[in-house]
Amino acid sequence: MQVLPDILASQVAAGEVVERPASVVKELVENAIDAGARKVEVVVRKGGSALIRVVDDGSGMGRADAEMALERHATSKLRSSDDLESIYTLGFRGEALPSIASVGRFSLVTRERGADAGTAVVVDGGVVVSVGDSGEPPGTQIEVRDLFYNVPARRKFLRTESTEFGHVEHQVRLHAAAYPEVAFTLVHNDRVCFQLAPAKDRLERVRGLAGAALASGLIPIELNGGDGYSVAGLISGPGLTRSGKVGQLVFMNRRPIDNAQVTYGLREGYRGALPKGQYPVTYLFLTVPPAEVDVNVHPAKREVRFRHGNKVRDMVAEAVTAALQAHTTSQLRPHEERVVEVVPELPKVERPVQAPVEKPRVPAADPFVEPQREFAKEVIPVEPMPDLPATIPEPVKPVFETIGVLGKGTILLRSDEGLVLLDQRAAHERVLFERVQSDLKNGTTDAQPLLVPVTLELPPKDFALVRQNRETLSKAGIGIEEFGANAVKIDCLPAFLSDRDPMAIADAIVRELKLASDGVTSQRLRTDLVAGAVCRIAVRQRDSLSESEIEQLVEDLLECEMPYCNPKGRPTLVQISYQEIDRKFGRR
Amino acid sequence: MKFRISKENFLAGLAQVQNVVAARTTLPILSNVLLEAEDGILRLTTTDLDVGVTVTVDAEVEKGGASTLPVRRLASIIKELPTSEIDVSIDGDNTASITAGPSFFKILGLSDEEFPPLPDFEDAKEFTVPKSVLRDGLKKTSYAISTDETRYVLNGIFCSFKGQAMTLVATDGRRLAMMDHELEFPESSEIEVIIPTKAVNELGRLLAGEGDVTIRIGESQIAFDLDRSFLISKLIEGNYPNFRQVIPGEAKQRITVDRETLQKIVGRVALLTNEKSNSVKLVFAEDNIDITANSPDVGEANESLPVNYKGPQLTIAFNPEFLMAPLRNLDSDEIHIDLIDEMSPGVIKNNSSFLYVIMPMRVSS
Repeated sequence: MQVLPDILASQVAAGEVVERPASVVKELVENAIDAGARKVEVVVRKGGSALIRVVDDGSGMGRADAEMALERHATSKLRSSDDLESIYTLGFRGEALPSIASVGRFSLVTRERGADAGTAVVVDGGVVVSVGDSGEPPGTQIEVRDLFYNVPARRKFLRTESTEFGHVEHQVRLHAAAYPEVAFTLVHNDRVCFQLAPAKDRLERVRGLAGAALASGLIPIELNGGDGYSVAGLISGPGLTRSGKVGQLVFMNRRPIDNAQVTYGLREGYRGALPKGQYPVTYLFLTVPPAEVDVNVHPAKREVRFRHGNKVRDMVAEAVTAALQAHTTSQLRPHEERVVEVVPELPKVERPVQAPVEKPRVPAADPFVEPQREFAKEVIPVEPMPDLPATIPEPVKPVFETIGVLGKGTILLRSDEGLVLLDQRAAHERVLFERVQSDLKNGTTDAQPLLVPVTLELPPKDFALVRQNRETLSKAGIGIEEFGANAVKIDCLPAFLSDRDPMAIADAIVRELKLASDGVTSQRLRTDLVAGAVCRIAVRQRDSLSESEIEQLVEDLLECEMPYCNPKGRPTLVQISYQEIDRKFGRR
Repeated sequence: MKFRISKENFLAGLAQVQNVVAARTTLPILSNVLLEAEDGILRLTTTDLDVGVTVTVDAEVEKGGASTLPVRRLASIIKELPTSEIDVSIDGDNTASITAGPSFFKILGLSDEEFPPLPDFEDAKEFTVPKSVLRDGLKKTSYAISTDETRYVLNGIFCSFKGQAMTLVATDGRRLAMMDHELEFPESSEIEVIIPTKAVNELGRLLAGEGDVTIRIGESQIAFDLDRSFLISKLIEGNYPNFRQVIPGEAKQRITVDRETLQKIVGRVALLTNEKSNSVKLVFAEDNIDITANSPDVGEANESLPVNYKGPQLTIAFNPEFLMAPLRNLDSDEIHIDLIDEMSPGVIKNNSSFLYVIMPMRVSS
């Protein structure tokens, strides 16, 4: 039995902290930001396995600090366990640098602002090789070459260069989104991947990150949850989804996080607008009182634990719903009043983590200066949020002129912005969905009892599902009763689909319930579920609608709360703007 | 093949057969009418493979023969021709020359050999029914046929020859119309079949005038032989719901009303229903029915009808269309409404053998 030698201990810790090049990038960029950098440059080669270099113009370190920084559990960010309660800096565990230094050829060059000379420390596999002077500009430059050269097991687990770089890029993007005021440059194999100038606000930064095309599909979201809780940012409008969570960026106090409750809140907020297995694109910035969140769950700090998880979830859900509704309403206004130019500027949450630039990064040398503590006591200033719905003027109905029908089920409309394609089925589903939903809510469903009730045998699991939803189904006009063991009797259908085969409807209801019911417990979701099932069954694929039927459909659709997608999130309307048409014809 | 025919006869014949042809068909020959000329008659036949119709009209046949021509185009040409006498000759290449005074048309046809022959069946059960009875029976029931294609068993009229009666039934699961007619036939001929909607509609076109129809029913087909026309149709296979269990037993209340008056009132009141709330309420009180409609987004309507009623107050909601359909298609002056209670099916009867069951709606107040 023996105490682990320091290097070995560091390597063990590295196993947790340094999983792959992206984790090195994460730790180094976080340090740079914690040091108050305004400019961060990340250079990698071969996906980061050959070289990772992070250069910042932050506070830099003195020689003593520079050496100390390589000791395990040495940190300038945390001084007592009380501080853990209110962490504003990204890093604090004091594990990162020594861990990284233990698994690569490491060099650190740093110079404090105003100091005559900088310090250069060279470490190789955790062993300090040399400490000397250097003449770099103020700031810190850390280089890691040949990552995991001394940990072959780990090196073997590295994926391809492009996969690893993908992770690195994602990591840098995350930081870039969270810190719009910091300039970011990412270089891979000597090619500039992106270069972002300091942005005046998140919107501008997100535009720079996402590209104008995607950014134009994003809508602003903000909500003050009270008690220091708030949410702001940009989320994708209906119809814009991704099949993975990659586009779903969530930040908590500017720290990128992954939290099931937030994801759940998003999903609930989107309600009918997210197809199964699809995720929204979000740049969601949560502000949570530091004392009410535990970020020290895992060394990589992606996971966080909220003290009031449900509050966070509900706040996110509410904010998303409000944003989508506000967006929908604004979209329906005529062109002159379009909201595109009027995107409210996001309230800028002052960056709380930034250590004052003039102050030394590691204040250990001066016991009287405790900048971090001062900061921790400050309350994050959040500008008062405008009451979103109130700022939106009365919606005026857009003028959609029917041009004709394209193929099966696509209707062509003319708007003052261009050509609009309408998916007949999706539109019809949306209209019926909201009608059934409101009938369910108000208990105003007209039901038509059947002359001849039908009975249906069900597998026990389906039977239980039907029984569970019986009350909601009956509110929707579907009279379904137990009829012996594992059989049900259907004796009533909603009036508007009472001409249909009750057997087929029962079948379809069970199928829809099965598809969507995983984990559905809340009453509201159950209502949506039944409404969704009913409307999908009700919609018939019809060859063609008459002109007046088309007009009615468009009118009904535009009266919907969320006209832009069907209950499963498929878009109902697709617009091709005049600009796009002109561009395609080469007119401009 | 060469014949001279009056415009009137030709048009009448074409009108009776052209509806069988589907608007869009994958087999070009099915868009055509088979023309057969012989001994002073011209026979026109069309089919969509499910239903086939043959009509015979008089013509001066100079040279017999057979060919096919696109039926819609032919009909639209004949309709526009300037003279009342038309000469048609079709050569061996199935090219038709149509001459009417100064007008001349040449249209291309297809060989009659490509035309699918109408099925012939043996071992058929035969029934003879007066045209007027069948016409009346179809009119009074066919509106209740289900139009939902997934309920194919209900997409037709159930036709039962049993117990010395012909019974016609149509239902869409929410109302049911039924008509009985006494008929003599041997017990061995008893049979029950479902006639598809399309055949019912085509039959309606052919059933004008007096006389009898000979109905022949085979394994999977039914044929209607009228004097100068003939219809054959596939039958719908499947089990028709047991409609007799649907007919309520003893009624508690019987209200007799003037058919036309009730139909007009319901029609007026129903103006204030919409897609969302499509029901009219009938409030039966002493010697009065109040008929009302109330749609939250539209408004409300109310009309009262004095009747002889002494029972307890009853409020029953119906789909207005379901209530009006039988009233529209009956011809008697008075009808009877039989009721049990607010949730049980209501029955409309006339003084003969017609019966209509209608299921009340459940409407939130």
